[in-house]
Amino acid sequence: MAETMATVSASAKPATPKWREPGLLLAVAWLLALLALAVFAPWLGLVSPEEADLLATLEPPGAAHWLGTDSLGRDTLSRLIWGGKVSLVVAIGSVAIGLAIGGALGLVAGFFGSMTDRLIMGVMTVMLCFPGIILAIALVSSLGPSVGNVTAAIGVIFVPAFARIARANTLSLRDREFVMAARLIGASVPRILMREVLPNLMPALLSYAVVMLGVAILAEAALGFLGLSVRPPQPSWGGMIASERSSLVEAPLAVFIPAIWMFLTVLSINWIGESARRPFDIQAQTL
Amino acid sequence: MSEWRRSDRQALAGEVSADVATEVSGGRVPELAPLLSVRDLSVRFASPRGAVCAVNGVGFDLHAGRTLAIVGESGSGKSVLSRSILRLLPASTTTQTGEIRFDGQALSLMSEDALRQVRGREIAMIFQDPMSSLNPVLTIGRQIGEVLGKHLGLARPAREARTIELLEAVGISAPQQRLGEYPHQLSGGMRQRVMIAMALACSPKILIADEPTTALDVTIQMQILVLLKRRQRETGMAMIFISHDLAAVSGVADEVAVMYAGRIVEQAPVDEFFASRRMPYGEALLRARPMADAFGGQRLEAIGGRPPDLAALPQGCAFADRCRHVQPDCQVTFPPMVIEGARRYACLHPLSDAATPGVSTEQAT
Amino acid sequence: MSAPVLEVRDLVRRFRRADGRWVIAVDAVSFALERGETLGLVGESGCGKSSLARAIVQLPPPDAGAVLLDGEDLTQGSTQTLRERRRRMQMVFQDPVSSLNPRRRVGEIVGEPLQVWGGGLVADQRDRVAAALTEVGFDAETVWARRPHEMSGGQCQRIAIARALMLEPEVLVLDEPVSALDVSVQAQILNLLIDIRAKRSFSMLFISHDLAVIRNLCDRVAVMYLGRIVEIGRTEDIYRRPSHPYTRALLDSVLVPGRALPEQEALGGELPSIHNPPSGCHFRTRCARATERCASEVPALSVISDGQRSACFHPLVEMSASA
Repeated sequence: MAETMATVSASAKPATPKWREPGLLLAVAWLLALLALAVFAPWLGLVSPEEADLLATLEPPGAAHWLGTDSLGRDTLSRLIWGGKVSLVVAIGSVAIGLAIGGALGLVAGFFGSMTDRLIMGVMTVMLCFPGIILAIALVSSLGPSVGNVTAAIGVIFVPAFARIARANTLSLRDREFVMAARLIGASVPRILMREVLPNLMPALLSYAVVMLGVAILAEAALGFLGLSVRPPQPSWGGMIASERSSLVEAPLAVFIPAIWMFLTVLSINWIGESARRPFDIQAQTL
Repeated sequence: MSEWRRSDRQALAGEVSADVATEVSGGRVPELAPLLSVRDLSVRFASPRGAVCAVNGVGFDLHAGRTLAIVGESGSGKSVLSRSILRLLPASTTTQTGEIRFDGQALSLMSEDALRQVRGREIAMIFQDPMSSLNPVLTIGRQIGEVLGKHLGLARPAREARTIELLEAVGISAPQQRLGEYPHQLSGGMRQRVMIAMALACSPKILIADEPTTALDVTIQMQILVLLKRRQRETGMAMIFISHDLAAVSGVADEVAVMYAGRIVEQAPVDEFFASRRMPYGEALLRARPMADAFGGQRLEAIGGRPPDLAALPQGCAFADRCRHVQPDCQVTFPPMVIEGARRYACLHPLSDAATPGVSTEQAT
Repeated sequence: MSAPVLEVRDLVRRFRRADGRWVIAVDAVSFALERGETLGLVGESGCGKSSLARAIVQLPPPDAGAVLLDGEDLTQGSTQTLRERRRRMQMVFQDPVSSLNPRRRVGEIVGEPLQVWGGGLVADQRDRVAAALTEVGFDAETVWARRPHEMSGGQCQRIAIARALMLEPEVLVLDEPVSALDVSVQAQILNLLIDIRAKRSFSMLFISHDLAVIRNLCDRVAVMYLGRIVEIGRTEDIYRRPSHPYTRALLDSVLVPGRALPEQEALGGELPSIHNPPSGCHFRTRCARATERCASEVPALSVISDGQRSACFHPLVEMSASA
């Protein structure tokens, strides 16, 4: 008789609470550390990132220089921390520009439709026709390389993508019953946009923004690699990889360490973005 | 609960006379063994709040040519139950225990490959929303043809002829034209007919219908139900009909089983059930709908409160905190299944015949 | 006999297809809603009842026809005029969770109508919101800070009703308010509507496909088929002596607990496509009583008996001699 009771499938594992996942904790820790280092850089007692010690070029990680030195004898760790300032400012700044301008344009286009929609999205489509990096190169070349200009250029590149996301979400929100209810109550259009539509757009825009942070870091690195980011000797992650490219064979670590540093940063950002997205998805599923 | 299992085990072991065995299975069809036999079926899901017990010790028999209706609201576990019979629930998050015997074989012990032979061919299933059950990018002809090819091994020319036959049998007009149409080009009623055609393609012995007419208009619902009953009479197919609509159930079922919080709380032949109910939830469900001759704003008997949290089922009767007739011991004692002739129910203080007048059988209008 | 609180005249709602032709969802519908009455609008999918409801509340405004609320035509006038006038007609939607802003809290949602129109101290507004929440069966303190996704469908629908009542409307339009809810919860909401209706004085337009609910709740019923009203009259008259063949078929299709399924369905065939409706009477393709006249002329709503009108050339109940 015992065979009549059969357990069919493997026993189900209870789910781990999200915030205890080790990956997420590491990602948050890394980013917080980076942020802290970038903010407190001047007071950390670091070796100057621009000080060249020509007797100690291309050294591997050691006691004097924890992450080694580059081809001009400059301390890699110090350069990564100072370069991180540049990367973080550019990343956060450009995403903020894209989010604010693109989000607003998409919201207006989606809600009002007809000519407004066609006009705005027409401009967005034209912008999207240019390969992003080419447009960035063009902008920075004409404006001159500086943190501000790089931030602005990358920000402009991001505007169409944010606009599209905002518009698509607005289109579906516009016909939802709670927006109709607001109109029936007699709410004015600005009120509806600010209080009904915008709060529901934010999760989608923010989760996209988190992903774009990583893209922005990579974009700045690419521009830096091409010499279009901050002027040397001011460090930037892309610039570091570019300047050590020729030493790849004899001292690969000089290239790989900045690359891994950047990789870990982008990975952490994406990890956090994924985890942050899930509760919003669950909420969205119940709608 | 223990009472039911004991007598059932005895029947299975052949230790008890056939009379008791038939009592257990509903007291109708005598000598034949049931086509489908479910014993102590339980389904548990993992969730952040702990194990959710969606189905809790369910057992029933289904004989050829008969219809068992499973009635309940959302959260009762009826849909999970319907999917668990064919083991359609995701294995990684679900634990399914209990025994399911079909035509002498133990479905619960079968390998996935063997089970795939049963699905669609011997036991077919149709769902509530045909739009999400039909593949939107394949034509109707392709989808039905796929079933015919896979299970019956028909070659392409034979498939088309048989598909047209099937579409005609389910009452779809201009079947030749439909072969090349896509699901979105059909109305809801027609899509449901296509689903039924797909399900009936291999002449299954059992059809599991999970809320097949809930999303349809009332005139179309009647068409579909008449179609299903006609098909049953013609082929002797058995049906498990899952619904929340007692009126629809009354039309099609031979036997009614009411589910609440994962358990069957009452089961009886259809006439007996609509004559009187024992377990208060079944009674309340019936009373929540406007009566046949109610005009002019009569208040309905609503069931207060909400269904219980399946992750934290109470110790006693799950319906206790919503029951009109609750007694002190209902909260603490788990009501065992009681057998009363062809009926069985799980209630410590069941309603009597006098307390539940039968449903009016006069004309509704 | 006072003037009706809501009057709909020759309302048309149509859509333009990709190929330029028109699809008519609401075909010149006219009816009146008397003060204090509950009018049911019943029909199956594709009959246009939801489009009609949306057109009445001007979301969006109809393509033709007039909607008179207390004598004032909502289709005329500026946006500002509409904003002010439409406060007196509120709507409760089918999907309770979707009709509430998921990012806001219950207290804010129900208080929004008062916020929009200003009016009174913050404390007064708070009291009024609390009163409304209590009226629909909540403990105001408990639900005030909750979000819609934390609540069940039935609870959300009660909040939607509370919000709709905040501006003390004269007309409440309910578009399938209980269809998305479980049976036991449906009963709770319907009881709530019956109670509120008794306490306040407003008129209701109740749209549903559920004939049993309509029968219990409504004073008069209008039956729609493919964009037109085919029969209208007092509920008891319609249900006991339907005169239009479609109404008869609809009522015969309703299953009743305790009764077995008939051998043959009450109404066969499929709903004709709205893109290509039958000429003359839309129902003629499925009607056993159809004649040539039904194909060439469109039947108008004609009087069958006192208060009951039917759009049929061969009604089931003959016109009474005294009409």
